[in-house]
Amino acid sequence: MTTAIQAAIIVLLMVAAVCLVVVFARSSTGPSGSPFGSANLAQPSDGAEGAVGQGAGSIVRKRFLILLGIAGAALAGLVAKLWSMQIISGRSYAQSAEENRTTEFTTVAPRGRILDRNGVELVGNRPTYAVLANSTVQSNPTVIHRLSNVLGIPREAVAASAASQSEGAQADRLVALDVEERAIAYIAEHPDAFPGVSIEGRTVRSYPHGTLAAHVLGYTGTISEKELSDGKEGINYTSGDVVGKDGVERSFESYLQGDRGVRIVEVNAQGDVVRAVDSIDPTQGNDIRITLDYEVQEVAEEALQQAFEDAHEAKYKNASRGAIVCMNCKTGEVIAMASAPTYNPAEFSNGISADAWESLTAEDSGYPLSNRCISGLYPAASTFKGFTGLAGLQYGFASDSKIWNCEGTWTGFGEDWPQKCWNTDGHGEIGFHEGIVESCDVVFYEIAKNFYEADTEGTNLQDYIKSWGIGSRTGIELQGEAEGRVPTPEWKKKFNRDAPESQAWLPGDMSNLIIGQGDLLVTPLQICCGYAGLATGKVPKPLLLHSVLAADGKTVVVDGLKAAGAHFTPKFTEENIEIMRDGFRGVVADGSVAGVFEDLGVDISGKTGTGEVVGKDNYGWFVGYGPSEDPEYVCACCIEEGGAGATCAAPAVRSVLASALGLDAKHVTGSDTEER
Amino acid sequence: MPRFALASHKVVHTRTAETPKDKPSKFAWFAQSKVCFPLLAIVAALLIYGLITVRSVTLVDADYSFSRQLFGVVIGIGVMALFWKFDYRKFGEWFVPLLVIDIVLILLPLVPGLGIEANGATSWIKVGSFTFQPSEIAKPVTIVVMASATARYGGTIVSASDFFRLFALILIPFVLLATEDLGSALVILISGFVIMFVGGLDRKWIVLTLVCGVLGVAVLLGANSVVNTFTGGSVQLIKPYQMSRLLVFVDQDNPDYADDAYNLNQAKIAVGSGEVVGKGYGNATQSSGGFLPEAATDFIFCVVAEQFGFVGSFVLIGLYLALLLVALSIGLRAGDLFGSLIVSGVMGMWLFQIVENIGMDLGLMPITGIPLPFMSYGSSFMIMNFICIGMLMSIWMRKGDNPVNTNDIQN
Repeated sequence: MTTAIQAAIIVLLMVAAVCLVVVFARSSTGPSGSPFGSANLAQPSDGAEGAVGQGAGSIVRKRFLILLGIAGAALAGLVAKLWSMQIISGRSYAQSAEENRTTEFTTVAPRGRILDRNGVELVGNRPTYAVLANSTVQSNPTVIHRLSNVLGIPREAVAASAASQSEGAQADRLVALDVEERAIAYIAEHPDAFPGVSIEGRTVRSYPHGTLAAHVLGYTGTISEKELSDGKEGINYTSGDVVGKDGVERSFESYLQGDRGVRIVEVNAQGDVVRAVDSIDPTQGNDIRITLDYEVQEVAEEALQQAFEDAHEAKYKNASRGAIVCMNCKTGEVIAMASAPTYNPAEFSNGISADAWESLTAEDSGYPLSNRCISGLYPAASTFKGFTGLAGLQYGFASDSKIWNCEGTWTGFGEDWPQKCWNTDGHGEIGFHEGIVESCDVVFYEIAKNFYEADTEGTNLQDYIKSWGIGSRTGIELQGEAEGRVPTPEWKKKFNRDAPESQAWLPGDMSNLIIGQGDLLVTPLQICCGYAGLATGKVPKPLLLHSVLAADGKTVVVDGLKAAGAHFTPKFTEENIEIMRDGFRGVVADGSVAGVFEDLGVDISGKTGTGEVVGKDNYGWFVGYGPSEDPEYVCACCIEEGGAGATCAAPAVRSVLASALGLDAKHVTGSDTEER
Repeated sequence: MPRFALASHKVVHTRTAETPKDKPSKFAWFAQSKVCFPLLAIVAALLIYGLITVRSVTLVDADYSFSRQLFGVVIGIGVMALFWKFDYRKFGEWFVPLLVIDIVLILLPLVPGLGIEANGATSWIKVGSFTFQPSEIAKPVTIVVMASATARYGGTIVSASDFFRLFALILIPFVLLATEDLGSALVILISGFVIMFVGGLDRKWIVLTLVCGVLGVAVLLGANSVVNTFTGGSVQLIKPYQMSRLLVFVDQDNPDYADDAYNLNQAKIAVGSGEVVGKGYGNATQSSGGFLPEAATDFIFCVVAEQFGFVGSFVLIGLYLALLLVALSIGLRAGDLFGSLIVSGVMGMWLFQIVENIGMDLGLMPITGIPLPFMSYGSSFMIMNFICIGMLMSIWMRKGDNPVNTNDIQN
């Protein structure tokens, strides 16, 4: 309808009103001539002022008609305005009324589950009850008080939750999650005592195996302001959403996060929901499978604990922290990854308490939240000889035929800087193979001296080590991976920029580096990947995502294993690497760990290590792979303050490798040795 | 308008001369009847419309009771019957007592222990379990007092002393009422002025009053802001809520007026969303959802507009126009000037209330607590309107009577 027509109709209405007045004015003359005759009016006023003459009736009549004219105009004005509001703009007002009447809010979607490579559930969802308060509760101290009593939450906390508008002014506010059934029953049975309070089924994260693989799985929490503002591609976060905070929960957030449902409800002015209008159910996030093998993981975690006991047996009482990681040598799939001490991710599932957080992050806690496999920085100790030995072979400073003489104490860099072999009695005349098997330090000191003398400020050794992935992140799909540190002259200068006297690159730095000591820092995962490279010739990129499943829990949406086998190939000759592999085979066959692997039934190769850390007991290392002829799995283990690697770490690696290879994963006590 | 009125007047005279007395007009039955049936029919229609509308609100809002409203109607009809029977001309003899009653009614709520406060104003009294708003009854009393005083001038008020005397008379109830119930005070002022206007107020006084009215409002607003500035708000000529309601319809974005802007906006949404034929009876989501404040009283028109749309609103306004036309007819045929002026006062009161009440819902008028005749919830208001109807019926019934002796009026 055009405005011209509307204007015309309004004018017509006004004309009609005026006509009405005219018609009425004529008809009101009535049958008796002029009912408003001056006589009528004159009579009552007769004796009063005596001022009423013939003209009084006409002026009153005139004024009456003016009054009617004003009335007609005013009412016509109202009708015109009504026309414009109800007929011309009616639709938009109707929309405003509809927006008033209904409100939309979203409902929480459950996260996807996390399964192991075989479909064993590692993280699930547990149905639970949430207590919600609508917008009226915040101004009702009685209800807040009652909720506080029933739920056992401080009154201030209840009041704060009830006043929170984080999910929208009309949406219900979460007061408590995972409420015990007794409290739920009480609230449900006394609805009159809890006006505006409702109970809703929600899901929280459940961990059927408790703390198992906690560091890989990670934990969840309510989205932070920062995460909300940063956002994530493809996800529409709402304040109050539960998101992955660590581990694969965080790494694979975009798969695990579900789509919120939508509820359209009719509300009144107080924001109370009158009735539901429409709803779209929330969609649970995708289930994911990760490459961990539940059984191997379980063995790995038990093996870590056993390693601490073994260390305690060997008088290393401080042993309680460590890391063990096992992966497929060729594909990089991580089969097991355990770190001690650990934590219970379930503590986070309905919001971690301040006390619990305190105890997880305190200085004396051992930092259980940290995944030592990827963020623990240790001296690689003798496991490093696998890389430095190959470097010596590649640069011609070592060979299968060369013979060294170990007298226990080495003074190759002068009498003033004597350095000791772990075997202070000396190994006597020793070849390269035995040097690895016996882990003779003097052999490696000599190689270090060769490198140093070739170029005192050179970094050939470091560069070669780095080419095996040491000193850089492996790129595993976990947060907080450490880079490690391979010291170079340049690094030392920078590191000691405030202490000029310590900036010089000394020969001792080189000989310390070559035996995996000094300023060198590695992570267990770097060692694991590096040895996978030594075993196969290709350094694999570690991998955790096995597959992403569709809602039916079967169909694969994303095949994570497609990425398996990503690797890089360092430079080496087949001849040299075979010398190294022979050495690793010798370590297990003839060295200090021979007893541990004796009855395994599969030929294993490996290397021990025992790291020295100032002010602490030695850190025990073992890294092994097998079967030696066609390596499938590699496993690295570091036990902080566990003493000799052969004693504590090797039995743990044995159990895990056995489990990965489908063999008997029993515990075999290692030898009590001083060997590094 | 004046030209038109004069013209029609002339026509009347020429016609009267030409029309034979034995040829009755088609309105003869209406004019000759002792009972003004059209008035009763229109009031009945308005009442039914109002009760239907109030019913739809009471169904969802427990603050209002339909039976109370019905009770008000029943009492109202009884009171109407009394006033109908009663010869209105006797009121003319009771000028001073009525003026006293008027003032007493207005001040009654201020008596400690009797008055109760609601919405920031003390305009209610409570006797037993009944609450009552005496200022409502003061409205027809003021009209009668004003009409009685004005009628003495016989249809011409020219001299300054006459004008100021009458104006002072209407200012008494206005000033007494203005602080507690500005809306009712304005109703009284307007109806009093209409009585003076119809009663032959000279044109210069009309202009002066209108100019003074506009200037007075402007000066009051200015003085208010000056006083506020100097006293830091401790002395307020106009209460902030009054200020907000007065000005919100021209300045909706002012944050000081947020509450009233919300109310006004919700009222407009209610009206507009009714569209052509409305949402249907009982489907007024704006009032049932509580978005619309005071749905049964001040904003009852919104409920009509929302439920019955433009058609329903038009019918209601049509009924009001018909009511005013019938009242006009009574006023023109009244047996004496006093009766005519009572009718003009009632018309002025209704017209102001209708235009103000509906106008505020449409954003054309300031927001005030002025209810809609025969529609709004509230027994005091209902009874007051029935008193007016009773007087109108009384005036109609006695239009042909010989006048009573009015000599006493002067005394």
